[in-house]
Parts: sequence; C-alpha cells; structure tokens
Amino acid sequence: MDHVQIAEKVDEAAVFAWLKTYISNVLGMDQASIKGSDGLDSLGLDSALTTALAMDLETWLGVEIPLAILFEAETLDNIAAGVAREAERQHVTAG
Amino acid sequence: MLNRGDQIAHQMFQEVQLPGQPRQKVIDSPHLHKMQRMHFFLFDVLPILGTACAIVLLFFHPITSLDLTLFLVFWALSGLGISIGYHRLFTHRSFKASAPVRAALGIFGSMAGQGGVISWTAMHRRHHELGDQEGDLHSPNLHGSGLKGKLKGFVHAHFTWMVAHPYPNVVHYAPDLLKDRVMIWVNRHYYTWIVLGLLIPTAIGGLVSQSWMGALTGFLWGGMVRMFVVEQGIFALNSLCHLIGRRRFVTDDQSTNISWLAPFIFGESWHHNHHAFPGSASFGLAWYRIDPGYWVIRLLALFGQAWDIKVPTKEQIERREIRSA
Repeated sequence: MDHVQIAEKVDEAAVFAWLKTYISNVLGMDQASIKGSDGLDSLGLDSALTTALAMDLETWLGVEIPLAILFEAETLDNIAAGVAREAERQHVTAG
Repeated sequence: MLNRGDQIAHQMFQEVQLPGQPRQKVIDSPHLHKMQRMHFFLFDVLPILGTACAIVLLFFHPITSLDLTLFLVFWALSGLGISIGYHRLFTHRSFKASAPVRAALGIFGSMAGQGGVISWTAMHRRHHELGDQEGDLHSPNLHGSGLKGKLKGFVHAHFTWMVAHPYPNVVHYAPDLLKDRVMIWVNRHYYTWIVLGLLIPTAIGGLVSQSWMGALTGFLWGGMVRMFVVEQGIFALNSLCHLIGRRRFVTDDQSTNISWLAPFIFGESWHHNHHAFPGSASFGLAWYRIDPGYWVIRLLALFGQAWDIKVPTKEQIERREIRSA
C-alpha cells in the first residue's frame, strides 16, 4: 500500500471532521446534525459499520487503530481524542 | 461482453471508492474474532447439541404432529428468509420488493442465526468477487491437493471457517443496504429476531399442548433442529457445491450444481448456475428444475409484492455453456 496518502498532522478536530463526513455519507444524514456528544450506537452504527469505519479510518491515517478505541468510547469526542492520540503516538514511534 | 448478471455483480464492487487510496476491504482483529467465536458457539454448535437432545428424547417421548408442524413452518420461514431475502434479494438484487416484504424476509433470515443481514451480504459479495481464489472466506479448494487437501477444505468450508475469519468492510461491500432504513433497522435488531425465532415455537408448543413438555419439544424442533437443518443446507453450498457435482458453464470459480439437494435447500444447490448468473432470481434456470425459492418470488409477484424479477434469456444462457471441442 505504498500510495496511501498519510494524513499530515492529525489533531482531534481533523479526526472529528473526518468522522462527521464519513458517518453522514454512509448513513445519508445531515452533517450538521452530528454532534461531538453523539455515540456511534445512537447514530445508528452497529459493530459491522463501526468496523468498516475503522478500516477506512486506518486507510486515511496510515496507522493501525485498535478497534477497542472505537468500541469502548462513549462519544465521537472521545473517539476523536483517542484516535488523535494513537496516531500521534505511532508517528512519534515511527519518526 | 458481460452478460447482465455479471454486469450487476461488477457494478456492485465499483460503488463508493475513496479517491486515490486503496481501500482496506477486510480486517482481522482479536476483538472481532472473540465475537465470532461466541456467535459460532451459540448458533452453530448449540443447534447440533439441541438436535442430539431432540433425537435422544424421541426414545422416551414420540414426536407429535405439532412438533413436526413447528419444525416445517420455521424451517421454511427462516430458510426462505436466507434464500430469497439474504441471498437473492439483498446480496444480488435479483428482484425488487416492497418494504414490508423486505423487512419480513430480513427478519425471517435473521432467525436462521447466520449473521446480521448486512454482514452476510458483505461476506457473500466477497465470496463472489474472489470465488475459490485466495481471500474467498469459505472455499474448500485452497487447502492442498489430494484427498487430504479436499477433506481439510471440506471441513473448513462447511464449518470451521466461521470460528474466526476476516471481516469485510460493509461500507465497501454493502453500501446499498446502508441506504435502506428498513434494512438498517432489521440489522440492528438481529439478536432480537433470533430470540423470537426460538421463543415463538416454544410458546406455541407449550400453549397448544398445555404442557411444559410441549414447550420443550417446540423449542427443540421449531428452534434447534430447524436451525441445524437450515444451516447444514446452506453450509453444503460452501462445501459440497464447490467440490462435487456438475458444471455446465464457463465460470472463474469451481462451483457445481447438485440436483438432489435442491428440494431440501429451496433450490439453492443449483449453485453453479447461480455463480454463472449471479444476478438471476432463478437458480434452476428452467421450469422443470426444482427451485422453491424462485417459485415463492413468483408468488410474491402475483400479489404485487415483488417486481423487476431478473432472469437471463435462453440465448444468454446458451452463450455461456461449455462447448466440447
């Protein structure tokens, strides 16, 4: 997978924006209606969809995201924070 | 030239691609494997044990006509839910159906305990994409040559692949279902439908016979045994229908037709016909081949509940036949 574009500096806000776009595209929802306090479950993402989201998130970030971050977080804000931290950690280790 | 069935299959894999990046299409994760092991034990191993109990119980308590009726009704409902709903409608879009029919087929299919409709669809589309090549989730033909390789392949394709397997990206493989609010709802309540599929025959058995024994045998025959029988039929498609039987068309996989199995699995064992024409609602491809799944789709059409039923023409069928030199 040498032509994956690894997202440059990813912070929490960037991950949250990605989550919002992704979820609204997949479920055909209005982006503006998705809040940071929403949980994946309340938005309508079950384990199948959450797993798909994880795969596409990994492709976008170019790093592996442990599924537990997504399955155990309560809100999108928690997920964005956890994912940004994980991406930062792996970039530091790699660089 | 692609025929219409192939066009539909081809089109299915073209949808929703991310720009400029190869998408991750399957994932292996310990978290998912744990869920898969649990599902395997509950809905693939327990029905075998339940069936063994039902058989042992026969020595002490003869089967009643109520038990048999419960078995047949729930076998037919959940089996048709898989064959017509999960397989011919949701995975291959070989016809269109009204929302109530889509919901009913999804719910009955869920009762078979073979996974939620969105997972099942994604995995089956991947099976068609890779048919008997590396990455096919349940091919019996990737385990070495000779009798030993075939035997290992049979056990894997029939049963043990489900213990832990790569999980497909449903956004890639089933974007159409994710846009269908009815199916999202059915999918979310997968476990509820399984439990109802076990509770309803138990309750009917108990209430009609006015006895606890009736409830138990209702659970065993209408729940466990019918789950076991539907599963073994569908598993045979993955194992036997890629190992033994007849081939008639040129296809990239090793699928086969097994005619004698057809009455017991709703016509699904015309599996080679199906791989040659995945977009066809008919698997028999002729009126004289037993294909109960297709007959029920025709019946639904008669009541205006199914339409746009796709079947290849005689010419399209003949064009794909293997020609002996």
